[in-house]
Amino acid sequence: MMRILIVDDQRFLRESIKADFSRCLDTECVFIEAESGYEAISIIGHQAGMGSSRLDLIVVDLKMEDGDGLAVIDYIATNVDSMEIPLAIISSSEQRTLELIVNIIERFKLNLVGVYQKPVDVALLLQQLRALDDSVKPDSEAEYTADALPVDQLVKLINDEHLILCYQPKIDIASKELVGFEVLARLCQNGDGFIYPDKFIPPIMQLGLGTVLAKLVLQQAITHWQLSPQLKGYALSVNITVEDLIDPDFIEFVINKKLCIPDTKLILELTESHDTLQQDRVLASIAKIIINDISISLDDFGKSYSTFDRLDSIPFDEIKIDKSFVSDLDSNNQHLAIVKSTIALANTLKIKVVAEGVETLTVLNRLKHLGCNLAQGYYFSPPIEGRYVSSWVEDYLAGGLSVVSH
Amino acid sequence: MNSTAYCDTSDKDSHVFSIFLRNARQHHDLSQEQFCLYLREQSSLFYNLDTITVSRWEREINIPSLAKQAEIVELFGEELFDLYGNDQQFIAESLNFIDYPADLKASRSGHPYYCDQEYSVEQISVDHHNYRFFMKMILQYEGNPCIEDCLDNIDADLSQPLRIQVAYASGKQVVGHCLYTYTSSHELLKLLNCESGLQQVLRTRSSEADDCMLILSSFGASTQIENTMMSVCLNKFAFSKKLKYLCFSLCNDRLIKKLTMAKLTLFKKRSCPSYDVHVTISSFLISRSEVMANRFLLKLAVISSSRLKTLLKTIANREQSL
Repeated sequence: MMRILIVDDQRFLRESIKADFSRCLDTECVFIEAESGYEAISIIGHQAGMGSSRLDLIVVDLKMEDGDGLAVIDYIATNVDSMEIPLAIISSSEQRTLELIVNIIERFKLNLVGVYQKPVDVALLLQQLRALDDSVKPDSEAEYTADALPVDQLVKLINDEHLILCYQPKIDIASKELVGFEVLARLCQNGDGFIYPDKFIPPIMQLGLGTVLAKLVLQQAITHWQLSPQLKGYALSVNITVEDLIDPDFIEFVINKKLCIPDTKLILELTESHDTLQQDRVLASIAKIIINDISISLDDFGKSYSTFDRLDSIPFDEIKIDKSFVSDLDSNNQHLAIVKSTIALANTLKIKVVAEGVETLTVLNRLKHLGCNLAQGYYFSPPIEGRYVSSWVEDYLAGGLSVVSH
Repeated sequence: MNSTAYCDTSDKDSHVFSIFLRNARQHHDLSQEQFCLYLREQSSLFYNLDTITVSRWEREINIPSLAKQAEIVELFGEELFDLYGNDQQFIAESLNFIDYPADLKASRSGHPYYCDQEYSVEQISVDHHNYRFFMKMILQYEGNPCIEDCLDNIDADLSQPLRIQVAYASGKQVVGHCLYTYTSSHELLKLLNCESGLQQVLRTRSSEADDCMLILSSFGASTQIENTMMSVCLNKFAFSKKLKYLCFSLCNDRLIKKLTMAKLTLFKKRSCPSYDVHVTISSFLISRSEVMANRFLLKLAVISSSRLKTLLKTIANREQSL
């Protein structure tokens, strides 16, 4: 027996889907119908705890007058009990929107059967559902997707009210001198603790809100530096993406913001991406930025293919080696080889090199011998909330140097 | 469980944060404009704050996130732990959270011989005659080879011993435990990166202060006891201000899952090569501010041991009267 939930606000559509299912299936079907996203959510919530009588398939129409199909997806994604249920999406939206939806669903790690245009090809749907059952799912790394973030909630968090910045110190390995800080964003909602960039950056980029966030981060970080004159000698690094560089407003914004902290070195850390489109515009923007006394750093070095290409055409001030290669280089020979060659390359090109993710003295000493200039990581300090930065600097200057070098 | 004293403001006339704001402002003899200006000068989080928002906070129309509350409260020399730990309403809510878990399904005991009887919590010091027995028991549960290493050296002179708390039901039946210690961040990171063993961490007399609390195991036969045991640890963390980081290093899935559900982010997941058995150790590294900004941890952290005792007594009386 198969239990199928059909969520559509149009009755005739539900009836036609039901009829198709009954015709295509030789097992008995139980249909549960919902006219709205709201109704569907309450049904899914009720079924989830019922063990044997749980749903075998959910069919959702994305475009409904009453309630939003996306809300149903969000609900499924946030409930461990329901996220395993196979999900089929019906939509009449254009292709690009559909791709976005598929991406969102994949990010939530939902059990997606497929996205279907109207009228729904139920035979195809069932075929894909069977294929889904056959593919043995590996024990999904014990990832409990309670951390998946509903998209509509996420959008509401991209503002000053919910943005909290942390600052992670960057240290000169040879002299132990504090050189600067990288700004790291956290989103904070009511009492849900901190949401980290690896959770919110990918969906935010997909929603096209990356530049909005980058501006908010710059605004808050530069305000912090303005309010704390004792920090002005330390460089401030902010993450940006290629998308930001294509936006002329953003370039103007950055240049203006730099004028507020004339004595501070401002570094934009360009995150690697596969997007090599509009190379000319990107290069023009970078030129404009550099002329205005702002440095560019190549972030996450080694994580993408286009890296060498970029290195050739952009006058980067520094390269940052991604923490996934650094933190275990004492026990992972491949990572050690990558770090080694990156440092050698940077030294040849006379570009500064920063190792991220330094957590132990052993790793720090290895980096020192390899000729790495700067280090960042939990060994020196985890990212520090804005209000503690100045006192951290005082402590570091007072006694931290001796602690670090022991 | 959504209507809580730190975010929902609809039908409350005495929100702890609003009261704090009003008092702080009056105590320093500031108008709302001056207060607003003060926050703008002190913290970049409030660079675009206006008096309307301040007024809305004071009138409980809006309450900022716990992270922002923490920032403001600390500007006036207090911590959120103090603020919420002294608020009767929040305490009541937190006690209720321990007493009546939101998820009724999970409240069923996972223990074959135990079902919602009264229980008490006791600290087991290193010189307790059963210390070794409890260590073995916890090792049996957690399966973390790091703990096994320590079993052979229980009598060694340690800079920080492993501390044990145990929950007993009637007849000295053990129904819960937690195992924790204190260390420095450098030693902690060596452990989390499998660069050193737990024993080494406990032995090292570091030149730095021990600013991390490391929880290695925590279990309760029911959700209620589970929360009780966590609360015992978290309260110690909250009221020792020198502790900057809270760390969990765990093998047993149950607590890992619970922490993930409480929206905490995994710091590391490593299988330590130095052990014969293949074990994956998951760790969470949480800053003091994050503990305050997380309602689950904050609720458990504000319950003092005396309040906990009273609660356990109430539970016992209630059961006897049934």
